[in-house]
Amino acid sequence: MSRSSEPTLALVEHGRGALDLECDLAVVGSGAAGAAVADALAEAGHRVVVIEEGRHLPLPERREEMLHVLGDHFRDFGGTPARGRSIIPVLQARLVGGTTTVNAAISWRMPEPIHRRWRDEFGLGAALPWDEIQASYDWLDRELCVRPVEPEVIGGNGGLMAAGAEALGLSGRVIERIESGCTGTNRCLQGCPHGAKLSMERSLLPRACGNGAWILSSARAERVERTGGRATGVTGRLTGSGQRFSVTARKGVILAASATGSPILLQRSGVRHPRVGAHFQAHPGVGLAGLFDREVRPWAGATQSWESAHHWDRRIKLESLSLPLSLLIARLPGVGRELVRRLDALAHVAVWGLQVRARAEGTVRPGWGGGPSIRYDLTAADLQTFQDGMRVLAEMFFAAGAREVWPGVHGLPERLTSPDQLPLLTEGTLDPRRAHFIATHLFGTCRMGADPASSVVDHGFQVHGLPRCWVVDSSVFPTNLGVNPQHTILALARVAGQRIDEQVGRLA
Amino acid sequence: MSWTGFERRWLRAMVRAALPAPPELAGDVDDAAVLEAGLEQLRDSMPRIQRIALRFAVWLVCLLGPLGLRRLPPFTRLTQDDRDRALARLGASDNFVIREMVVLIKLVAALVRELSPAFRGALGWGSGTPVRIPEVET
Repeated sequence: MSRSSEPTLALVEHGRGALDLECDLAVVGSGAAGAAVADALAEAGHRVVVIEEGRHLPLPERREEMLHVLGDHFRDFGGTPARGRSIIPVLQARLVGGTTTVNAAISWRMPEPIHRRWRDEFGLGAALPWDEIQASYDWLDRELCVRPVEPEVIGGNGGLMAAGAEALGLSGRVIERIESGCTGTNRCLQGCPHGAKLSMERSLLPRACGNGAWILSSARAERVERTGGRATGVTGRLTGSGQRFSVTARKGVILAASATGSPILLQRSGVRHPRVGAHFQAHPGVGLAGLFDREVRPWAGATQSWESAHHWDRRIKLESLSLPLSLLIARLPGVGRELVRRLDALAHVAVWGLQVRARAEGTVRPGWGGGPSIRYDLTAADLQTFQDGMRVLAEMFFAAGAREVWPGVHGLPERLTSPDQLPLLTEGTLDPRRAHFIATHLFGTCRMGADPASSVVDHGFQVHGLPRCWVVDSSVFPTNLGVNPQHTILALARVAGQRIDEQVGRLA
Repeated sequence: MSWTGFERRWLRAMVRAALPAPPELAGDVDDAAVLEAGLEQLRDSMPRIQRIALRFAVWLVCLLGPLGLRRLPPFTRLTQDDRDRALARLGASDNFVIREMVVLIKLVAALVRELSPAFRGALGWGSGTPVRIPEVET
């Protein structure tokens, strides 16, 4: 192995042949969870290899055009389908740094009522003490420069959302993100071209590499290997050459491959527990667009800059969301020359998103072609929440001075031109096939708990019945959060790193 | 399975119909070349399941679009006005699958058009600094 030319990451070089590596701990996945646990364990002195299916994306290769981005950076062209009555695309990246490379880096701590529920309903109070999680957040805040979006780059989209909320008396805030030096290029979703966003490949992974960790990129993990009943390594295929690789892990294997990746890896490795892949939860969302007389210039400013959790108790969270050009065009009403006429007003369009803490639970199973097969159906109550949330958003648009609101729901008027039309949004029951949902923030498919009958991992993050195999990503969360989970995934993976360090020390 | 010549022509026609070049780019050779290259890139970079969906969308629009207007297929025989009407009609269908196929064609058109610097320039995309809304900055 040799260090790559990329100064901050230690990438394992591989050519056309098979590859065999040895280490103390193999981590599958290099997103928020994988990076945080690798960092903690490398710092504790363990020899760590992080296995990542995607490639490393250096700054000079970061492009704006979404055709390139969807094909290269995202799993399934950005559209892993969650199938039910409708088809909801699930967005997940496939890169060193995981989805942190292509999200808006929004930072939220776990709401206290969620932790209370985890403690009281799922018995996790002792396993995940509030104070220890807060200490982990504090460390991350310092290390990852968590801070509000600078006023210069809030932009028209976020600014108008703030104006709308203020006019209606809704609470909200400038979004806090992990970044340093954002210039407002609106390219979070393509991978920040300046490296201002402190996604994992620019923050915790280099830190881990500085402590001796290595990253095996473009390597698809297919199976957790066992010897003597315990996990001892990972095997899979290199995505470029198709050759096999194996990573022998003396102390154990850590899964951080997301709430879709980790359960199917366990299932493919012979773990037959009925709860593996069950209880899949998400934060599905929709976007509404508004047309203003004043200029918005949606392409200039931070991708996401303002948010409101005013209705969090109603399971609703609202965010400004400046889309890349192609996705914005696809979101506009109309087609053909009518659509082109609308493009004249592009500088006056704002898009705001609605994210719901959905009650729905689905399943994740190994699918055809190696990826996940997801079944997921929003409940009637979730759909009602969406209707309520869309009405709030539309009301905010009008309060901010929008001339028109474009709900993007089949069966409703293409454009709402007056607040008098707002009741249309909550009339009747929303058919999920009439709106365009998207699902991000995935949870619950390897729940934590003391009882092996009802959970997949124990209080030490170790898989019941498979010693030395741990799951540390949002799969272990027993519920969704209602806020952006990246910071909590980081914090809990860091806690998991400490637990694993204690366990392997004790076992040794 | 690779795309046939007529499938490529149909897709090209649908992309041009779903999102025509803005008037200032009509007849622009460079813009047309970017569009061609973009369609090639699209077919190469889409995973199999999406390629199948796109192919299904092309056939569906090609056949149902004209029939919905009481015209004979394929889509490429329609006038520009009729192509607009056919896409709008299918996009407003009460059938979820038909609607989604039009959305897919529209998304593909936007992804391919976005590759053209001339297209982005014609829309003013990326020009100017972030707008400040002074009354809400605190």
